[in-house]
Amino acid sequence: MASAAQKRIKSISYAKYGYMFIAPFFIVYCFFQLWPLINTFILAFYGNGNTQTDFVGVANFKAILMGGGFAEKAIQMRFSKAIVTTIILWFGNFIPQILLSLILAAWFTDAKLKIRGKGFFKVVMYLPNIITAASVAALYVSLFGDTKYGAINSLLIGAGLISSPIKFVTNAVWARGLTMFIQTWLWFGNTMIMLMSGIMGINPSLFEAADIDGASSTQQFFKVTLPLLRPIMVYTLITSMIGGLQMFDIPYLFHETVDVTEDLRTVAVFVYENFHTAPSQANYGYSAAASVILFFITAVLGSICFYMNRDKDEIARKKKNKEARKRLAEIQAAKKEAM
Amino acid sequence: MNKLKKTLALVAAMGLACTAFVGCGSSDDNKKEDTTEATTEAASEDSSSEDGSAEDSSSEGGDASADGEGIADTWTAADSSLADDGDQLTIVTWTTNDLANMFKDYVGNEEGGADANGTKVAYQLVGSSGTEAMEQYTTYFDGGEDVDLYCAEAGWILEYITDSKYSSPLSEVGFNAADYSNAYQYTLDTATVDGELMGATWQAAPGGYVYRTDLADSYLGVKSPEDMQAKISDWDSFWATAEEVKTASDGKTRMAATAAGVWQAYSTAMNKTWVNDDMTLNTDGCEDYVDMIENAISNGYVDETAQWTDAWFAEGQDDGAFGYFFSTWCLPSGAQLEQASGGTSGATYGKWNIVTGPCNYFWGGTWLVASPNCDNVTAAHDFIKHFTVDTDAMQNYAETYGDFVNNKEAMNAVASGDYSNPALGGQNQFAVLTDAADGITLSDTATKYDQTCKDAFNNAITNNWGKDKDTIMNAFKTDLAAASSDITVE
Repeated sequence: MASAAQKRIKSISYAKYGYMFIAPFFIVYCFFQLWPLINTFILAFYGNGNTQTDFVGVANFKAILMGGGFAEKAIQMRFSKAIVTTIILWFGNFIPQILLSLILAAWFTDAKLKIRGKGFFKVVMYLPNIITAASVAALYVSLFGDTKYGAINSLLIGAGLISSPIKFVTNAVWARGLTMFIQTWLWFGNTMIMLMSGIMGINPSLFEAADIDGASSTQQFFKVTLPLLRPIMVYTLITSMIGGLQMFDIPYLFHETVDVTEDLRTVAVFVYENFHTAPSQANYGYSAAASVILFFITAVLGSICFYMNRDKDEIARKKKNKEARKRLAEIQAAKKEAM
Repeated sequence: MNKLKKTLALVAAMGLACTAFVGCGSSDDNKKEDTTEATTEAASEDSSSEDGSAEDSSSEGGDASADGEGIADTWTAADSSLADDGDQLTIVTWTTNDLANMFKDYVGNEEGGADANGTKVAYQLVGSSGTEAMEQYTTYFDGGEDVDLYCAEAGWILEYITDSKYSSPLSEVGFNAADYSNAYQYTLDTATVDGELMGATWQAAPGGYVYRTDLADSYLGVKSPEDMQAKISDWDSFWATAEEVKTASDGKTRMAATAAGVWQAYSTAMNKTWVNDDMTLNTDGCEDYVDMIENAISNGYVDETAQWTDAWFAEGQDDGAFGYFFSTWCLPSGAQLEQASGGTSGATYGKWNIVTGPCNYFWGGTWLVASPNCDNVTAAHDFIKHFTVDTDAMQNYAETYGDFVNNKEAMNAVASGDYSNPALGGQNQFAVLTDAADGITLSDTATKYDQTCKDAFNNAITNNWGKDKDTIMNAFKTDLAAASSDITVE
C-alpha cells in the first residue's frame, strides 16, 4: 500500500516545465508566423490601392485567374506568365540538378571507384550553397552584363566570336537559362550530400550480393540503388518543388536596371512586387490572393508527388492484411452462427 | 530546491519570451523619462521668445499665412497647433548624404548635436530608397515613434503631403509662400497641395547636359559651351547634332548614354497631366516621345546601357557617349560625373562642360515636411529657416558643400562668384544651372501616381527596346494597369 506522500509524488508531472520551455517559441510563432499566415488569407479577400480596407469577396481570385476588364486582364496575364516562368525555371534547374547529384552521389559512394580527395570535392561542390544569393546574383550580373562592357561579352567580342554583345540579362532565353544554371550550381552540392546519405543508408550486403551475382555497376545502380533510394528521392523532390515554386532571390536580383527582368518574374516575385510599392497604392489583395493560390498549387502538387511515390509494396501488404482480417472475422462469424 | 528549479525555469522562459519581443517596443519608455526635464527647459525658452515677439504676432493676427507678407520672422511656437515640449528634434530621413553636411553646418557635427537654443537635433535613418523608403516611413510613422520633420524625395513626396495623417502645413511651423520669394518656383509648386504649402526644400536640383569638350571640338568644331548650347537648344537640333556626332565618329559615339536620361529631361519638361481628375490615364504626348526616342534608337543616337551601371559610367571614358543628362547632384567631387570620368586621374577627367541642353528640367531633390506629431516646433522652425529661408546661411552652405541651394539670391551670388569645378574643366556649373532652374515650370495637376506612370512608361521603352509604337504603348498600359489598381487605364 503506497503512502499518501508516495501517491503525491507519483502525480507530480514534470511535463509542465517542458511546456514552459517551449512556450516562448509558440508565442513568437503565433505572433510572427501564424498570424501573418492567417492575415494573408484574410487580405486575399480585401481590395487593392484605394480599396485596401474594403471587403471584395473573391474578386481578387477572379481577376488573377480569369481576368475580366482591361486592368483585370493585365493582372491575369502577368500572373499566368509568372506561373509559366516559375514552372520553367523549376524544371530547368531541378532536372539537371538531380541528375548531376545522383551521378556524383553514386560515384562518391562506390567503394570500387576509390576516388581520391573525396572530402575535398564534397566541400568544393557544397561551397556555392554557402554564398548568399544576393552575392551570387551580383556576381553573375557583372559577369554576364548585357553590354559590351560585361566580362563575358567583352571576352567573346575580344576573341572575335561575336560582333555585337549578347543580351544575357534581358533576353528571355539567356536570362532563364542562366537563372537555371545558377540555381543548379547553388543546389546540386546540397542535393548530392542528401542522396549520398541515402545511398550510404542502404545495406552494403545488398551491393555485395549483387556483385557476387555478377551485376554490372549500371545494373546495381538501377536495380539496387535507385529503388532503395526512393524515400530520399521523394523528400528531395518535394522540398525542391516547394523551394522551386517559391523561387525568389535569384530571379528577383538578376537584373541590371532598377526593375526585375520581365521573363524572370516568378510567382514569388509577383507577390513581392504587388505589395512592395507606395503603401497607399499597394495591391495587397492581389498579392495575398496570389500567395494563397501558390499555397494551394504547392499543396496539390505535393500530395500528387507523395501519392505517386508511396511505397506500393507496403500498401499491398496492408491491403492483404486487411483482407485477411476480414476473412478471419467472417469465418469467426460463420463459426458463431454454426454454434 | 523544487521551488528554486521552478523559479529558474520560469525566469528562463520569461527571459526568452521577452527577448523575442525586444524589437516590438517603441522607444517611448526612455522618452518619457527625458521629457520631464526637457519640458521645463522648453517651457522657459517658449516664454522668453513669446515675450519678445508678442506684439508682432498679435498685429499679424492668426491667419498670417495670407498672401503678401512672410511669417517666418514673426512666428512663435504659440501660433502653432503643434506641440513644443519634445526633448529632441528628430528628422527622419532615408539618406544621410545631405543631412550629414547639413548637420555639420548647423550643429557642427554630422551625427547631430544641440542647436543654438540647446535643443538636441538628431536624425533617424531608415536606410533605403524609393518605394522601400516609403514603406519604412509609413511603418515608422504608424509606429508612433518620435518624428518632427522628415525628408521626402521629389518622386514620392505627394504620397505624404496629400495625407493629413502624415503631414501638416508649413504654416504650422511658421512659413508661408511669401517667405519663399527667393525660392525657385517649381520647388514651391511641387510641395503645394490645394493652395497650401506643405514642405520646403533647401536644394533645387536643376539638370543640364554634360558633354565631352574634346569630342565636341574634334567632331563638331565646337569650342565653347555657348556654341554647344546653340547646337542642342531644342530636341530637333539635339538629334541633328547627334547625327553629326555619329557620322564624325563612325557610329562609335552616341549622343546620349541612356534613354532614361533623355526621358528624365523630356518628361519633366513635358509637364503633363498623367492622371485626370476622374482617375483615368492621360497619355497625351506619350506617343510623341515614343516617336522621338524610337527614331533615336533606330539611328543609334542613344545607347541601350542602363543608367547608373558600370557600363554606363564606362562610356564616359571610351568615347562611347558624347554626353550625359546630369542633375546638379551628379556634379560635386565624388559624384556621378567623376565616376564617368574614371576618377580624378581618369582619362576624361576635366574634359567636360555643362549646358542647359534641349529643355529645362529638374531631377530629384529632397523636401522637408513637418509631421503632425511634431513636438518641437521651435527647433523645427529654426532648422527650416536656416536652410530654406536664410539667404546668407544658404549661400554659405552652397559654397561650402557644392549643393545647389533653393535661393535665387544666394545662387546668383554663387553663380557670378569664382566657383570652379575641376571635373568640368574649371567651369562654374551654377552659372548654367541657375538659368535652367529659373526656366522650370510645373503643372499643378501632379498626383502621387505620376511616378508610377512615368516608371511604367520608361520601363515599357527599355523592355521593348527598338520595337514599334503600338507594342510600347500597349506594354505601358498593361504594366500600369497591373501595377496600379486605382488608375483606370482603359
